[in-house]
Amino acid sequence: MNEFHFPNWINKFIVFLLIAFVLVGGYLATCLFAAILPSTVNVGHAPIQPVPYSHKLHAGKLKLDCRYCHNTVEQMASAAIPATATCGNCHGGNRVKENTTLNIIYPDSDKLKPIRTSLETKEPVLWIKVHDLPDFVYFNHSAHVNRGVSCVSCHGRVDKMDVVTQVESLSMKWCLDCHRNPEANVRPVEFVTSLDWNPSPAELDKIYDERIDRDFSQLDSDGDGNLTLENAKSLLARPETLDADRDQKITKSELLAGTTNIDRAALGRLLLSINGIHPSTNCSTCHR
Amino acid sequence: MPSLKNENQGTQIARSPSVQWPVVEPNDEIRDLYVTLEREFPQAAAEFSDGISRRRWLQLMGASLALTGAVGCRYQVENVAPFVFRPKDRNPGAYVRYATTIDLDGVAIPLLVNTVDGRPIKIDGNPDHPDSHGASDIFSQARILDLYDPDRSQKPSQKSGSVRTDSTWPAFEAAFQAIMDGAAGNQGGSVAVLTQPNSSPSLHRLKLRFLAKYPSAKWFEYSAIGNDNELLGCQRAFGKPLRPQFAYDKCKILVTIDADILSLGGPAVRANHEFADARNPDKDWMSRVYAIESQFSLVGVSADHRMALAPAQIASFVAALETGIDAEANNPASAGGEKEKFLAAIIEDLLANKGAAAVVCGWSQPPEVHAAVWRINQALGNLGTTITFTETSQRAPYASQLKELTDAMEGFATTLLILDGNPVYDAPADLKFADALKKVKNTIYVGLTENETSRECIWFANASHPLEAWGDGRSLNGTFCIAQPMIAPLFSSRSILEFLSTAIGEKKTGLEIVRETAAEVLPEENVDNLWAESVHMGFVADSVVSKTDVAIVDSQRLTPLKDWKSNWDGGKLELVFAPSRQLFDGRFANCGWLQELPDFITKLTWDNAAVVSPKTARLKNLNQGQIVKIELDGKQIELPVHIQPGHANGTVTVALGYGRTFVGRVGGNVDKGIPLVGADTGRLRTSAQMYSRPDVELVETSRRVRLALSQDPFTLDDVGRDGIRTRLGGNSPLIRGGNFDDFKKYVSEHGPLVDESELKTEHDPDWHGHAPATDHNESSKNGRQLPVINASLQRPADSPSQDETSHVVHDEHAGGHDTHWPQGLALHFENKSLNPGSKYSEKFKWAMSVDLSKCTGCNACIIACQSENNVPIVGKDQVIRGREMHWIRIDAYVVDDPVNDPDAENADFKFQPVMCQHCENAPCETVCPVAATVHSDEGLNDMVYNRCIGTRYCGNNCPYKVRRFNYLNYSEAVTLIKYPTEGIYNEQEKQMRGLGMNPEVTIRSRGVMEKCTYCVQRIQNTKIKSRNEHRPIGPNEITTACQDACPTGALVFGNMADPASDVHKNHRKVRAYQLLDQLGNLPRTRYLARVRNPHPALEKHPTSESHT
Repeated sequence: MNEFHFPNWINKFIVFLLIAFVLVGGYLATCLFAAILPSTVNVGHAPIQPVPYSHKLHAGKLKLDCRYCHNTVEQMASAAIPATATCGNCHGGNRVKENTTLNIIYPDSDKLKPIRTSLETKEPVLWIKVHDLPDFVYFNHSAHVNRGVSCVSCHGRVDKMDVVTQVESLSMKWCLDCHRNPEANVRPVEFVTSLDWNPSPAELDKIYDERIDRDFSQLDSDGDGNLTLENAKSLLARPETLDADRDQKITKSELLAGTTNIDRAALGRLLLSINGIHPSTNCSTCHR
Repeated sequence: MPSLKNENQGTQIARSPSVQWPVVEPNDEIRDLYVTLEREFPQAAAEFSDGISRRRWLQLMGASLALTGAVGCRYQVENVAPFVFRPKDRNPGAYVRYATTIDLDGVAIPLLVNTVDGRPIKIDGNPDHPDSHGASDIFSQARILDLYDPDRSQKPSQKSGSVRTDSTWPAFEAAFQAIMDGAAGNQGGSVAVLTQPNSSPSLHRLKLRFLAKYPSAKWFEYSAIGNDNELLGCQRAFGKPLRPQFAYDKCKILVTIDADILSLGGPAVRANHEFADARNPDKDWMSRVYAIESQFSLVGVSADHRMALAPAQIASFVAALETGIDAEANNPASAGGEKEKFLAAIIEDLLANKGAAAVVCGWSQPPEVHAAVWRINQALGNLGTTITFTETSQRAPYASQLKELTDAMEGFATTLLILDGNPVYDAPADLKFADALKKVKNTIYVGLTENETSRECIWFANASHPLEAWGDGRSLNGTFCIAQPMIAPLFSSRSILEFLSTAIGEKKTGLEIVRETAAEVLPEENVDNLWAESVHMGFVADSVVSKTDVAIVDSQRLTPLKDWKSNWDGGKLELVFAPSRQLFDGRFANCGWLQELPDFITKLTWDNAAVVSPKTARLKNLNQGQIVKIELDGKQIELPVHIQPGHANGTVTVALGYGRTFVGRVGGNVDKGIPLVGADTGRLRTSAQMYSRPDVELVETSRRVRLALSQDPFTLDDVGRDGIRTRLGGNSPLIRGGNFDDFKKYVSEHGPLVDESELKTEHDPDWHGHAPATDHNESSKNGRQLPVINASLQRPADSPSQDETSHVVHDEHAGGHDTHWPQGLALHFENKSLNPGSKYSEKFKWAMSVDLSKCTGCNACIIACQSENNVPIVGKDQVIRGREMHWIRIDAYVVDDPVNDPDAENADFKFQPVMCQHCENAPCETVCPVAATVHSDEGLNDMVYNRCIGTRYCGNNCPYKVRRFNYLNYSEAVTLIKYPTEGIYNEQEKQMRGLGMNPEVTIRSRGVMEKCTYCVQRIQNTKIKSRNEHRPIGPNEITTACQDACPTGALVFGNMADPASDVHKNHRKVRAYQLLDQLGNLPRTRYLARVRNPHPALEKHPTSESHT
């Protein structure tokens, strides 16, 4: 009879304990779930780099084009972190090129010491990757940049960052959202590196009309000089205003006339049509 | 997943229900099989192979959980290390291809190496070179693994007593100089040099310089499997040493005498290309091939007729052939027995095709036989047309050179310098090379890795890998090929050329040496440009060695000992030594890819075996896997028996190159307790009998082992066979085909192509079928005819009609099985799809075509795939469990006639490469619970590794058994070979192996299913590239790795929707069919039927019971 028994008065707490257990457990599970979401884990990642390079200064104030440093972005999968010599072009003293007047900006700055050391020892600067995708994801910069997806879509306003910070989750859902509805993120290729591109409605209109004028033949797959209603529908600002009984063909002038007050998405749709861009959602597009 | 592999009874099932391998008693192997079949999962499917306990597992899990917590939720920080000065046009992650060359035993193979970020990762053939046509062989491709082998020697070492201490190259060179200075004081009289055969002109030049500096030094060459007999045969027949050059593409009749022209190294790449060119049934004519051989070779499989003869009988056969040719005795119809008929058919064909035929003799046959074969070719007018000759340098046979060397070592030589090679391991036993080596005062070995020979030498110095150094060589046709380094030496090392240059006091760099040699070939004006161009191309243009005229000087007839018509009566056996078709002479023993590569015929991996015919096994009372002892000259080896239908009776064939004792963690190392792979059969060779020894007895033991076969020969029982017969109607063989004459007749009546609309499938909006796509369900209900051939030709399989659209032809391989030419391709199956039907892109439809008429089964595709797709090796133990990971396998189907030929003496083989078929109605996709395998709109069956949870349902539901599961973490190589201390690669060594991985392909982890992806990384990258360049993808622009490697052009990949693409054209050929089409999977991969060209008099006639 030495066996231990819980006293009876404990029984009235059992229900309470069970409820508490479920609630606390649920709370912890929610916390864990929220904590491992890419939007929690990835957004805001801003590692301290060996050289406190400021994009805000270089890309924002000095208006260096992204491609001055990230110069393989149009040909390669990777955008290429610049070689130390690229920094040295301006800051390297005469370690990169002799007898040039361009390389003397802050040649003695303490912050730039790793750059000078690298140029002298030929050892690379070990930058820290900010936007780091899992190894089973094969992202290709050139595929996006050449189709008019701007740097800003994924990297945010880098030209306003002193320390580069990840602003998008880069999760698979986030990728797929855009692959399914890419209109808003597609712009004319010449504006791809203009992070502050924000055209007024009038400008948009103008670009839109110019593109239709220039690339109408790209849209007109059968080459008969006008578009089928089916093809034109997605391009017209208000397709519902078309007379339902009308002829099934839309001419260039009709298309131009039917497209006023268009927004970024409408321009995106036009560019997608003109360039024949169909973002793929096949698994093998990104996973190999 | 071995169960379906051996539905290889494909063409045989319509005949009698006898057992496939009739002579093998139901033994332990069979019993094991039944145990396996009855288990739901294979044995230990879910268990660690090294017996981890539950407690240990919990510890591990606890530790890894704790680690996860400590690291936090973000994955580890990755650094980016850009160049300090980035070279022009050097883009990170870009593939750059460079031409180079690697010599294999005296023949340089022109290559193209893919490098990424300065690391070579894949080797292909050089498409601009006529000896390669862009294709390559297994050995060249495997050099990538060689380069990043963690067991590579990393520094020179010196032995004093039994202790070996590390040294450095400067210390070694100083010591070497001191030795040579002593030798020079002696006028070099005591220096001997031993090299492997090497075609390098630079090496030859430095050799002459070396001999000039040390005038009485001796230079020797040795290879365990050289072309001595061919050279001596030419010497005998023509009075001078020559290298024959065969034009197989011009041979209408090809007779091979114990010659495996299609495997092994440099000559084989071109031979495969030309051989397949003459075997293309879409052309006007097709060659007829006869193979007379003991062991099954690749030619034997491709041949139209094959006769198995013991090597000792072959001389007599050649003598009979010569007599017959001279007498023009050529009536096969009136000839007596089967064998006489065979000979008469050959003679008839050869006489009818004078000047367009070739008789080829193999390296293992003695010089007299070679001379006789040259006389036959002379009589037939083949010399100068299908066979030409180039001059080669005079040399003594390798065995006699080595004999001379060992005599010198016993006597005057005080210094021996060995440049690569491994004579301690592969020298003939009677020369006692290892003993002689101990008597030499100064022994120096310079080579890629330490081996049995180097460890007996006082000095070892590590040479650079061929991919790390400048070099040169002469390819088969004599072209001057240049090797440029792909990467700086990984360890401090010198190439052999650089070392020799130092030895003669010049101290030139590899580049200087090779350039100096090339200057002798290049014209003087504009030499800089031509040099640059030659390096770029990989060879000096127009440097082919000119052909030479020959005349027969020898007319002495063969006096053979053993009659070729005699049948073996159960007496003593002839022991045949054959070069390993995976490890060559053993030099590739530490290459896991090659160790795990299944032999073409035996499908044996990680081992060599005593291969005997079923009759030999029966009369000698041997069982599959039984260990036998072979004892000769007081030396004894033990080998497991492998029973091989079609093998010559009375012979036992053993592969050389196994049983090495000092290699590494893959190939074995006695010092470190790492088990050896196979048995060293070379110990039984003597310098007089290098290729076969008569009067050998096998001593049985009671022990048995399970051989690591990648294709088990016993897995189809009567129930399975009946099931196949019921379901396939007995008329849907996996390998379809017929003979050339019937095929041509059919094509002349119906045209070579089927209608374009036949390529459409039910998923296409404008499919030609019964209902438009909108009414898809309706069309499924109605069933449909498969788009393999004109609908008008199709008829139900079970009603053989005699209308003029079909022709009864006799498949000679089926041993009496009767098949109908078009009918085999035109079966009617009702197709009920469970799949709602995907939307398919109109622009891209990836597809592949495999031409069974061309495929010779050379295995190059397997290694190419392994290299391209980071396919891991799993080790012998895992292969035995059926867990090999190859994405492409080559099924070998045996065809025999159990009724008339119970010992399967005339068994025939057929090859069929099988990889993921990318079915449009893929059965694997419907069963995956997590959608880890899904269809892309371009027709790819995508495998998403990061989603896979490893249920293996897909592998279970795949009718082609092409899915591979990572039971263990194979890619980490930790589990590859488990030994207490040495088996595990440390972090640094893992990183070294990682350098050779293709960065474009995910490395799979444990618990993940994988399979052929059609090289999706190449598809995606080409698509992106072409878009960036604003151009469409070329019709044949995208190639898969297997296709690149294939020397015969049997594999073709491309966009089926593009009418200009080769795959579209192939799919439209009347020969095209889908594997297991009755399942309605609509595979995107289609096979082209195997057309053969048998001699009418030798065709086997249908038996009465066939085709009921």
